[in-house]
Amino acid sequence: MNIGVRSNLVALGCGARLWYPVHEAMVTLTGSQTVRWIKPRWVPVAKSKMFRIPERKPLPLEEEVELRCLYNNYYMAMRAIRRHLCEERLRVSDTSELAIKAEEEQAEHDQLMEHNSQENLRVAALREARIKKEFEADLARVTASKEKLAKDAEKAEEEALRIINETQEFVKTFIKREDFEKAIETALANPVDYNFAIDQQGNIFRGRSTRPEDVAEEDKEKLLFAVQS
Amino acid sequence: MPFMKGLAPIRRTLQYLESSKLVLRERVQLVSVNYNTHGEHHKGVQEFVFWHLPQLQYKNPNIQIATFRNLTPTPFIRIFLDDGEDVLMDVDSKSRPEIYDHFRKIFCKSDSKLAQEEWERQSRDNPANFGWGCDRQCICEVPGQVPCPGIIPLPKFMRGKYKSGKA
Repeated sequence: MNIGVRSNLVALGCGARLWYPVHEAMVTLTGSQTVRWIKPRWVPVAKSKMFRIPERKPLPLEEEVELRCLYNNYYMAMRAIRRHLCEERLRVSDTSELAIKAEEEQAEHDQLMEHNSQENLRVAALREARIKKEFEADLARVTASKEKLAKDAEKAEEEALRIINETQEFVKTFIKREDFEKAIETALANPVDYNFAIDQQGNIFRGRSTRPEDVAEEDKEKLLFAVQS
Repeated sequence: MPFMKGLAPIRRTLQYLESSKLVLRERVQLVSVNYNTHGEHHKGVQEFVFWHLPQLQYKNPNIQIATFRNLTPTPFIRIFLDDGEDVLMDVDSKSRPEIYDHFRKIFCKSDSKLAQEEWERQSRDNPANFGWGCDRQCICEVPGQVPCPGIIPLPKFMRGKYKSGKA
């Protein structure tokens, strides 16, 4: 196959590529470089080049290390920037999956908050009732204790009055200084005899020198408590 | 139970802590419980704090949980969300199961959400995943992919040692 000159080929100075390159034609690329020959795509690999393995030139160790370092830093920075921008886009975009999920979550959250406030209202009502009950119980307790105090005060007053009256009565029997000797003389003149005797029928015979025969039947004094017979 | 310290040492066992379902939602940042140590209407909260607070903290290690005792006439739980908003939960005269259910419903992740997260964590959401914990250990198990180099050596042009001239 002869790849000859075609008369309708034009080498443009502005850098346009020709579709069918010719080994004699000068194809200008952007005006700064010229390509003498480009292997056409349908031409197979040459026999001399079929099993060629491109030689990989080994770099010196320091250069390799430095290069690797630079590459690492560069890729790290680029990866970070790319990721950051992706995440921001996801976050800020209105139609992304995240935005939709966020909306759903917000709706769910609102619903739960509503439920919570309903529950709070219910519990508040119960609490009010309980507090009211406790308050009333307190009031009742206080009034009861007040009444009790009043009653106790009354009783104490009565008791005090009674004691005063009794004492007043008692005071009347006191012996005054003026009647002192007269009282002694009356006491000496009327000795009190505490002696007594009891017989089996329960009769009391008062006096030291009383004999049972001396007391008449009708005058006998009986013990107040029943005698066991 | 080893080292049976405290009032109910079962609360300190791993099994008890792991089995709880009180995983808080992402919005929740802070949990504070106000209650008294004595009082009939505080009984439910006392029990809730006694039994369930260790579980809550175990499942949410990065969330602050605080208790304020003997400061309030009525007990309540206050949750602070990440946008600064705080939510009150009135628990006066409630029993422990009621408080647990209500708390779980409002502030914790639901069962379905937890199952989904577990699913994702096991990389089972994407059937194409391979590796540790997935159905396939290595891509070489998949028909149509490069076979395992441990069984069939790779061709020379795919080997780095050959390309760099070291083979």
